[in-house]
Amino acid sequence: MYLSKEEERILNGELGEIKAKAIKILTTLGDIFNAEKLIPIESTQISGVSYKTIGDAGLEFIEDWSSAKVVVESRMNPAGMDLNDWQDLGISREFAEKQLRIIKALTSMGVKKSCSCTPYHAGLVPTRRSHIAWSESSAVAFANSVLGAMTNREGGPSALSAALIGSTPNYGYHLAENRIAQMVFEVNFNLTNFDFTLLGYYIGTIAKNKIPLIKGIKQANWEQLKSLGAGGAASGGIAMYMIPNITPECESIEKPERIVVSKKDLREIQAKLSTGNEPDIITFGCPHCSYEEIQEIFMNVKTKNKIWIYTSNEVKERIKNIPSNIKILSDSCMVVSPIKELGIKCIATDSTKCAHYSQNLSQIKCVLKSREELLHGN
Amino acid sequence: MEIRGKCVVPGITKGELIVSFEPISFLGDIDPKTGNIISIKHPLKNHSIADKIFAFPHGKGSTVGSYIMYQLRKNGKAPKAIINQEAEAIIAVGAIISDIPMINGIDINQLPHGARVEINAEKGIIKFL
Repeated sequence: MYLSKEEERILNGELGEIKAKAIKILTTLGDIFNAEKLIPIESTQISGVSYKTIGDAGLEFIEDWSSAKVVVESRMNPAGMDLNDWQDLGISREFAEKQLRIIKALTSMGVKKSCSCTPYHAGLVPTRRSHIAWSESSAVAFANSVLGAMTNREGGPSALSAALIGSTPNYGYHLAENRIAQMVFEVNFNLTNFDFTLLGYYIGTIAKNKIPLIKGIKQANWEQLKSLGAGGAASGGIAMYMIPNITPECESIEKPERIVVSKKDLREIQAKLSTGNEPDIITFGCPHCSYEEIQEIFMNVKTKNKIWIYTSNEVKERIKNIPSNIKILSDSCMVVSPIKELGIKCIATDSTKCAHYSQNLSQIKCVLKSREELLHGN
Repeated sequence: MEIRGKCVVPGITKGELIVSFEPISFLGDIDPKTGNIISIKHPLKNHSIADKIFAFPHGKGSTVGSYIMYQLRKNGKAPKAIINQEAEAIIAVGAIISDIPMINGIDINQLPHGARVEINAEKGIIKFL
């Protein structure tokens, strides 16, 4: 791999041992994936922030690296608890202390204390063709597909290394020639709001980590595209998808494999992910809700059941007049927080990603229904 | 006899081979406190990778696996070296941050479990003793 003189100096330790390790991570990944060089990036989004996910191992590592400073705009993925309201939720003091140590270490490195899986709803919107190093899987899918920015699916340490050096190895989704759909999915019916998360999940199970091109969607807003990508990234490894006249890039290989999607396919996904009957709580915000989504929830809520809405801190600060049965939580989510330890056995969600990970990571049951049904108390 | 692969993390060491033909997820498969293989289904369950030359085809699973390797190092239970057939990000990153010598591109089937070997990772050489 070609390295500039300055990159050589960093590798040789002239900016300290931590930056030398960071660039070693980038160049080694570059060697493994046949990158020719490192390229500058505009921002990073770093996963592996929740103490529930990374444990003592990750905490120790991040603290050991905390004296180094990031050189590009960098944000955090959700943490294991709302950083301010954790006591009300019944999070244990031991968990909270360790979680706050992780946040402190990342903050001292210059990572912005904005813990969200939807930084694009919170003021960080990469421009088209800009190179970034993001790690949260649904944010990666959104950035590549909807915004036309260029990022691989980074792990926590590789995103952190990219933040410290300001560059990433040039391979995968950073190269235009790899941003071409390999499979085509055809949808011949009108999609409801809720169908987008089911469709994404269905496509992910078949396309795995290939790029799908989805035909038959006439219009879609950011929230629907967010749900689609999150589902596909959870069930498969979708880092990018294409939709004619909606996503900025839309090109497929010659004679791609074609798959026709039926309504029945989507209902089967819903049935497979619905494992519970009596939710203790209704949750929204996987991925984090936008300001507009929360206003719409407030307008349409009929149920008196308890609702938790997860969002970024930036959005939470703008929310006023919250209905009494609704709690707005920031910096965290139901997937990365110790929700089982709070005595919750079953949650209701409108997100296939939430249903997938709640069962796999938290071992709790799920009711998967449309937002409309959940808000009406059905 | 010696086998050659490609350097991922340089270092010279020698020790006993522990060979897993299953891909490894450090998160869940390895206990960071003891270095023992704890995956129920693994044929080498309860064997320790601490201070051994740990060979397996490639990593899998959560990226938190890199941090588990780091914790093994801090607990003094890291393997002396890692040999992979097909390196991927989780194991490579874990080896770098934990200073574990690592060689890639080795056909794992050539490695007899329990044999003593000398590793020169910088040159990518595995020498049977």
